[in-house]
Amino acid sequence: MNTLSTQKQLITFDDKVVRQFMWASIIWGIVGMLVGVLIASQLNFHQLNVTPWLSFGRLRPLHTNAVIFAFVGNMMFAGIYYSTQRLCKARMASDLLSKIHFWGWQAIILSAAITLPLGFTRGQEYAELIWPINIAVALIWVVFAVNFFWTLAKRNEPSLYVALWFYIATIITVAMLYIDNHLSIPTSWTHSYTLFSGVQNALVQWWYGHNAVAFFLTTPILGIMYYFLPKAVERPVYSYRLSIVHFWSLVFIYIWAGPHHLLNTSLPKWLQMLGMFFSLMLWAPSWGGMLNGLLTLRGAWDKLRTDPVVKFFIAGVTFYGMSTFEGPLLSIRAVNALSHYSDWTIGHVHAGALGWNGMMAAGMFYWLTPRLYGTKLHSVPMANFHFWISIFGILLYVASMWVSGIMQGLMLNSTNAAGTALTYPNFIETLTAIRPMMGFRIIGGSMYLVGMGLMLYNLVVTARSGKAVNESREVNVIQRGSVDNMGVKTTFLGDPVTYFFGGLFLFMGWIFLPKGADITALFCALGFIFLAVKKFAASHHSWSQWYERLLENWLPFSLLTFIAVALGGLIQIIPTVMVNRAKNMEDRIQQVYTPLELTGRDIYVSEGCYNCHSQMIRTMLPDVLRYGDYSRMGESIYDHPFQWGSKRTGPDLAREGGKYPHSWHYNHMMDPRSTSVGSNMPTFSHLFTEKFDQKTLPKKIAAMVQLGVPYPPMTDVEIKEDAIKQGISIVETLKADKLVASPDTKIVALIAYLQKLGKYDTPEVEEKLKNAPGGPKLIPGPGNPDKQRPAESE
Amino acid sequence: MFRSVIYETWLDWVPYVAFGITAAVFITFVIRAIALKKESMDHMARLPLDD
Repeated sequence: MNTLSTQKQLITFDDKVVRQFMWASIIWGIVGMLVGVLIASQLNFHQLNVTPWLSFGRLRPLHTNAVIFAFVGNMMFAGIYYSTQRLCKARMASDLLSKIHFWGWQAIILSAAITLPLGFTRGQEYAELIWPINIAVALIWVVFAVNFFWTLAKRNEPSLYVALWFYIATIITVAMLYIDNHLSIPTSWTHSYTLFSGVQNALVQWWYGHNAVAFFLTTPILGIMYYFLPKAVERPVYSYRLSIVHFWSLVFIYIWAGPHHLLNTSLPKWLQMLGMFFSLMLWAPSWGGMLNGLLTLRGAWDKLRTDPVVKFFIAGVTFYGMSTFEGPLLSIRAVNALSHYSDWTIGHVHAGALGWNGMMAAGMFYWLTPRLYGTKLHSVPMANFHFWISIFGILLYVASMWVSGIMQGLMLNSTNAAGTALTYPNFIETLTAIRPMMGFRIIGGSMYLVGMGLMLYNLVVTARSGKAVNESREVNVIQRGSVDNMGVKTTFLGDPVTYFFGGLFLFMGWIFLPKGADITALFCALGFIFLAVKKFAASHHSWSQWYERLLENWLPFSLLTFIAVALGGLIQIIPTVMVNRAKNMEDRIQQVYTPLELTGRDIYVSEGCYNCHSQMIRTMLPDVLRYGDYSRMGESIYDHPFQWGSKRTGPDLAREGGKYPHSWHYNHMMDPRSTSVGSNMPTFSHLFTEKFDQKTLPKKIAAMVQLGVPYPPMTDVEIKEDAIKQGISIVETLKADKLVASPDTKIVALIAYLQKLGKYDTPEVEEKLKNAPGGPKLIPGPGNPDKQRPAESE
Repeated sequence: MFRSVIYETWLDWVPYVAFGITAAVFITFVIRAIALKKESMDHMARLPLDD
């Protein structure tokens, strides 16, 4: 079908926005990595936590957000703006929207760089930014989406190349995930409580968190790989067929894998299993994509020796393969029992961020800059040096984190032969053991940072030797109406979609319907599949035609992509969100925080304590021996946000309440080394003088009530009085130990919170079980802080 | 119902569901990819090089 008219048009691409995003990416990347090196150093030298706003807990979110959203985000936008215009043979639809996108995104990053060190956070990883910034992110993302889809609509190339599919999936999925995970009730301009709590919050957070990796750090970069790698090696992608399988299987499967971040926790087992199995299935599409990238170099392997761009791309794709092999491996429950909460995970994410994202970014920038400035690269040897120092830096970093993670995991999980006592009961012992590895990480990270600095210098000199150019090209204008003409009926009521979703619907009936009806649904699903196969055999040409038309119709394609990514999330999340209520719990229920404890919790979140301390005792013997009875789902049901954490640089705090006297916490916060010799925790001396916020406390309680937390009716005055009264009681206890504090200071609120951790109401059933003959026995074992631990708990 | 959603392990069928969905997606798109006409495939593959 000839969809091109004879009319030609000269178009000039908007390459200015590409240049802007590229420089922003490099500069923010250096800032983000510099913060990374600083916080890595803080883990070894606690003295580097010089001020509250430069402390590890506040800077770590700045590092992750800067690398993800500023470095990779800007890089992704540069790549998307450059390739989309070429693949669509059209200038971006609106220069104004491009400008709003660029400057809006930089303003968001700047706001994050200011607010995070000040301690304004939502307390969820990679979702820390406060609600006004969340709204700005959503709006700017919509601006980007409108500009992108508008460009697709006015394109002069009928077919949508596979890179554009990946961009479409990125735009749609990130919007869906970001909005869902950031739903909050504001209590002030800088604070809000997430709509979800406990296990449902954990599930939604890691649905978002995992897919931020999938759809922010992976799919757009895969699109960039499918465009820029063929350009760099001057030959088409190895197998376009493989890219089709790669795309669809990746977007269908990736979205289901989020629960692998919550293995062995109180998340329902069926969700853990789904997360694990889908993660394992990801091996196939990920490696399909990697091989497709590597084999694109067929017949041009000599370029790997001579061209730094190709070196960076091939190393990036290889790291993609390594990371996507390691990810599913870490998702196996038994492996995860060792790796989770340890540096192994840190090594894994850095193989992805530095190896996959960083190397792809460098390759793309070295390729782009000479073209964007109409000149040649200033220094190829310097680019080669950048490559090698980066490679060695990454390998040193990742290898040291592997060793550190596996070593600490083994130490923490080690018990005596009978499984009744821990081999290393003192947590600090395991931390001391990995310190040398943490030192190597600083060296590896610094090497990578030096490489980034060299790239900045090399590219700045390159740019200065040329002049900014916007490429012009004569294109054939597309006949309007010859593409993008697939109506709703053709898209959704055709045989392929009807049979696919009909079968899926019946299949879901088998899962969710009561006994009897489920079997009927299963048989109906099988019958439907049989009919679909029969229909396909009879008219496969029309099915093929439907799909080929889909590739020339951006709107139906985008809608079907949305359905593909939404399905997995909905099936996993809706049941948990619907039933995660106190009235449905058949186990322990968390005690509601008093106003002072809630304030203390906000301080805990604000200081970023969750970056080093988990609050989730896993259903594993070593965890139970070390920290006490395993955590139940109902024990965090009022936690907005949940604080299960993902890394244990310090011990778990789920049952910290009542474990030590107030004075211990007082001394620990003033000087952690005074109570825990060898600790790398920062001092929190500012908490002893800073007053907690009494003014917004009633609003916070009101928000909690709105979220379903059963607070008794209290006036504003009663709320504040209650907080001060509890503060006075803590101060009195401290006085007995000759310690001084004011009842309205942050330290008092924090102590109140820490002493509440692990407090729950015991349902009658559990009480009866405890007292019944032959009921669970109590083990007062050594190193077991929870003396009430039943023997069966493991 | 709540009990089955929250507490029951459902381990018996979860692996089959995961495998079933994955296999269905793979098979569908492998068939689709194989059925793609060579001219159409070559045209698509060369789009980035079409300067």
